[in-house]
Amino acid sequence: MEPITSAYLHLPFCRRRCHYCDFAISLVGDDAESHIALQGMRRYVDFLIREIALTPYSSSTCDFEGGDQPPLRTVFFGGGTPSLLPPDLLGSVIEALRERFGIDPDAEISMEMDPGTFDAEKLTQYVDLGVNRVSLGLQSFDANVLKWAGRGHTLEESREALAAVRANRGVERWSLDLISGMPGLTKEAWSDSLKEAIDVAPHHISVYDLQVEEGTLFGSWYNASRIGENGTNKTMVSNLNSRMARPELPSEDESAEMFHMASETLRGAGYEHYEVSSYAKVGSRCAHNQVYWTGRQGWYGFGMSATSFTAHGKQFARPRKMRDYEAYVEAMAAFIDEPSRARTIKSSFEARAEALLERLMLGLRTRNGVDLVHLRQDFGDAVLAEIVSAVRAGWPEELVEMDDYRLTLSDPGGMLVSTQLISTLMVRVSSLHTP
Amino acid sequence: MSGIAPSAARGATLGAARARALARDGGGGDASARFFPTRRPRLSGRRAVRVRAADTPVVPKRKGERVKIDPNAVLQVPAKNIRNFSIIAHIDHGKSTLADTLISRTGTVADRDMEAQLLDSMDIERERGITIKLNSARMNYTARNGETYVLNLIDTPGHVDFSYEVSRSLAACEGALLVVDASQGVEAQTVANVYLALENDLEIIPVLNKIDLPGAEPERVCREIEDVLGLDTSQAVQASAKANIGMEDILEQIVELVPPPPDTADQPLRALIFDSYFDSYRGVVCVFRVVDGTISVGDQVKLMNTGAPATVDEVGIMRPNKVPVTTLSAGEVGYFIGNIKSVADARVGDTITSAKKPAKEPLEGYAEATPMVYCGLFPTDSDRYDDLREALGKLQINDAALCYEPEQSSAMGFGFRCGFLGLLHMEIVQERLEREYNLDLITTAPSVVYKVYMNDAEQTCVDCANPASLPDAGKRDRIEEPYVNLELITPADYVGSLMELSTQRRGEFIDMTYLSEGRTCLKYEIPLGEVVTDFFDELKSRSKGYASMEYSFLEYRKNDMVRLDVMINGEPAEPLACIVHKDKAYAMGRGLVDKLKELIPRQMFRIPIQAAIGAKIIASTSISAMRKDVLAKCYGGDISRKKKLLKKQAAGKKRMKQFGKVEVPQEAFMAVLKVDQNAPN
Repeated sequence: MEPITSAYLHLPFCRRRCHYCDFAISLVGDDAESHIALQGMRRYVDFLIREIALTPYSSSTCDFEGGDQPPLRTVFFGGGTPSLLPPDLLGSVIEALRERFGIDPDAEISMEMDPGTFDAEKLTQYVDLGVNRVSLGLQSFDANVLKWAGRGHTLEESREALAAVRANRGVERWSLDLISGMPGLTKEAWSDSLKEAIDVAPHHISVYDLQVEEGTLFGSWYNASRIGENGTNKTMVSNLNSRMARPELPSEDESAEMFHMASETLRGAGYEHYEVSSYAKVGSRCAHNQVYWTGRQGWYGFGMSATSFTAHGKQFARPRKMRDYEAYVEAMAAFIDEPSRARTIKSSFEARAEALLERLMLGLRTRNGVDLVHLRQDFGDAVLAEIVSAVRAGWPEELVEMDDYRLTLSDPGGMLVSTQLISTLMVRVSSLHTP
Repeated sequence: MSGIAPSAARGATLGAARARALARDGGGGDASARFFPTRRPRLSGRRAVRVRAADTPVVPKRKGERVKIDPNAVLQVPAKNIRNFSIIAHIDHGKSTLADTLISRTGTVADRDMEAQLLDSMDIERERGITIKLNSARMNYTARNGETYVLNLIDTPGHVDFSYEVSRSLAACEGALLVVDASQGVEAQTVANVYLALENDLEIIPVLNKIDLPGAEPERVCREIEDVLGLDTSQAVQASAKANIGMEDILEQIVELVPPPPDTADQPLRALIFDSYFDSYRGVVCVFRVVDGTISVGDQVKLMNTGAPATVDEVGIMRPNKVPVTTLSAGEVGYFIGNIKSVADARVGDTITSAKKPAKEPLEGYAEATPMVYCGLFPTDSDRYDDLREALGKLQINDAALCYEPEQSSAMGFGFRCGFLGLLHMEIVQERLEREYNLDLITTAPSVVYKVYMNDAEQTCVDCANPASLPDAGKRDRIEEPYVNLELITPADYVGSLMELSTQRRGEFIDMTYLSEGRTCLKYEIPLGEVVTDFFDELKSRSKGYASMEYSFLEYRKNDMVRLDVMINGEPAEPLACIVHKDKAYAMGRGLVDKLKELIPRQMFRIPIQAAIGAKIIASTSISAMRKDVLAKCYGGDISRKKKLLKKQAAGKKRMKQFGKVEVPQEAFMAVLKVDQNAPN
């Protein structure tokens, strides 16, 4: 594994929980600047800083032979709603990172921001601290869809946020985040949203197909009723009133259609569909996120629920609850190193199978696909041959593009059923399950 | 009891079948105070073995060591004081309770030990209505005349699949109690078993059970017994086993009416095996009735039909736990253990005779088991083929009726085509393979055995138990299919609906008789292939559970049969092929493709499904392509979640079988049983 030069930091604070969200968050209420909210954030940042200070270099970084350990090249503040954090607190976190690992002067420092939680001045403060990429969580250009999704901002606030981000010279690149397949979203409204997104000319657009998760409000609204045969969603609501309150969830076919629309419209406007949910102008891909999809690079993770990947077989997710996370940090001083807490994989076969699975499932998310030359180098001729023949036998031709160098899913048809394709491959590639 | 039902529809009631199967192996209720085998459903196989070990009273002996026999433990009486009888009853009419009460009443088993068992066996009867296992109990009874009698109660299995075993049990008796629920009446299975008993010249004593219930109508039920069975009911005992009413009357009537066995102890040994089972510690245990002569510890014996020799290591009686004795004489009932390795060597119906002074002729009525129903069994994980073979081999040691041979297909891989006595037998074997041997199986729809006459010069006849291997239409002259005599007994309200059902299933109406007010008996001749589908479930559902049925093999008849092939994504799916009557082929083809459309999940491409006869497509449909299955977000923290999701999905797919690019789930192979045959064409 190459030396680690990426870090993810989780800032879990939110004013409220959106109806689709199952992330580990910490609610502060509508007044994020109240004394008690600030106190909570300060306390959390203290723990975060302690965790950063106590985290050792990964072994791949320690063993780096090119001289000094390389500094961080990508930093990502995700959440939660990172833009709720007062700039001075963010500054102390960045300072802690710089002190512990160093930050490359050209590093990409991304931050997720939500409309209604910042203004031009606050943004400038973040930028002054080093933030140079903004991921703006607009989610929809439809006021009703925002409301039904439980988002904490209005369209007006979205427009203000857009203006602030576009006007700030220090934001080198920015991304606009949208969600397709949302309750109440029609194909017409989606088409309009895509056009509007293109009009504001972000460098990057993320389009997430809504996943209705267990334990979310949407889950309770729609999961029980999603037993319609062969993917036709039947909404069965027990009483009439709640039916009025709940908009229709687009059917599988409709949301697939929205995925197609996004791919066509955005590619037509000069965006490259470089990953299932990611579109970027040339040269504006998110460097940090690409680290996740190589399967050959690791990253540090800090904060509640953050996952780190510091060596093959050593993926570790931090506790999802605030108290548990605090206890985890308290105990860290006693650790010899972090991997002692990490899940260790017993057999070398298992480690290899996991690495292969990761390589396939992550690579196939991207336009670059799985590099077959690297695959052969890392896993051998036999595995490559097995995968090639499994693809030929099990995958419909129109969903895949394969040559001697690369295995890629077609856009958008193949990408849309990538989970199916990969699980079919898993059944047919015995290196993934039989020692 | 009358139950057969397609296994696919019966998941909820498998427990009893399982229990029965376990009980057969499980030491046969040795020593537990349980006459009727006890409820042991939902035990893992391992646990069952443990129970058996704990229940076995006789510790395994080292070679050459003999069991200590207490000469006073067993009362000896002359043949004239022996009565051998069995109980004929319909499910829930109270057979188990009656047997328990008799055992308890005669002091054979202490009351204290009886308790649990009553409830248990009641449960099982309810669950499925199968008497779990053949067994026998020897009771001592001092009658009003002051003499002491030995009463041997011989149990019969209560399922149509095992009618041969029932007939051998009845052949071991001189009399039978006919137990009829005084509030219900005669049921189909009862009729069948009474006829079997009459064929064996048994004295039949009618008993009206549950006489204490408010709904009891003894007069009506007596009339029914007289009308339907032609039995004299003037001496019928009015009883309630539960309330302990009439028990002594029953015992007295057994003594008075059941003839004693003839005293033929001086003749060469002939003993009729009516049950045999494999005990993993002791080998095969044969349960038998001595017809002529005597059998003693140390005797050299042989089985007259199979020719297998044996040395009598232990002989004894069942009370109902095993009690060793030195000798058993003509008229007595007991067991022997003699170093026999497989029940196939000591089959039910065989005759034990002396090796030195053999009898001239074996007892009549021996028959080899003939499988009536076949299905393909394939391990879901093809790597477990060897495990499946080994497990089948082990089951066969204890189940002479099970037969199997290797089968192979491109989609299913390696497996076996297995033959069974009936659907229940099939289900028991599947259950045991899955639970005791931890195998995950794909079962193809059951098929009967067709006789296919070829159009060559000799008109060669081929048995075909696998629709996929039916010779091509051009090569065959005709197909014959097995027919059964079917008897239905039903409340009059449902007669119309059941006649409709039987006609739909190609039944030929033979007769209708009125049993008593509101109850009717229908007789049909019907293809067995139509009965081994959802017939029983349909019968129960149309009659709100009140109708009962019974069938027995009749003959082979020529019919216009065709093979219905199924094509998935253009490729023939052999395991889904079935043989149907030409007139029903279209409806079946339509139903089958529609059912498969429901059962096969959407995949990444459109899947055409077709049904064809020869080259002609008679029905087709298609499953539209899955449009979307993707995890939108896959960043650092989502990776392990995504892996889990993929592994789960892959595990589900691994359980499916692949027809080309199409993944077909287990349930689809039973689709033919799930086709709604009632739908208007």
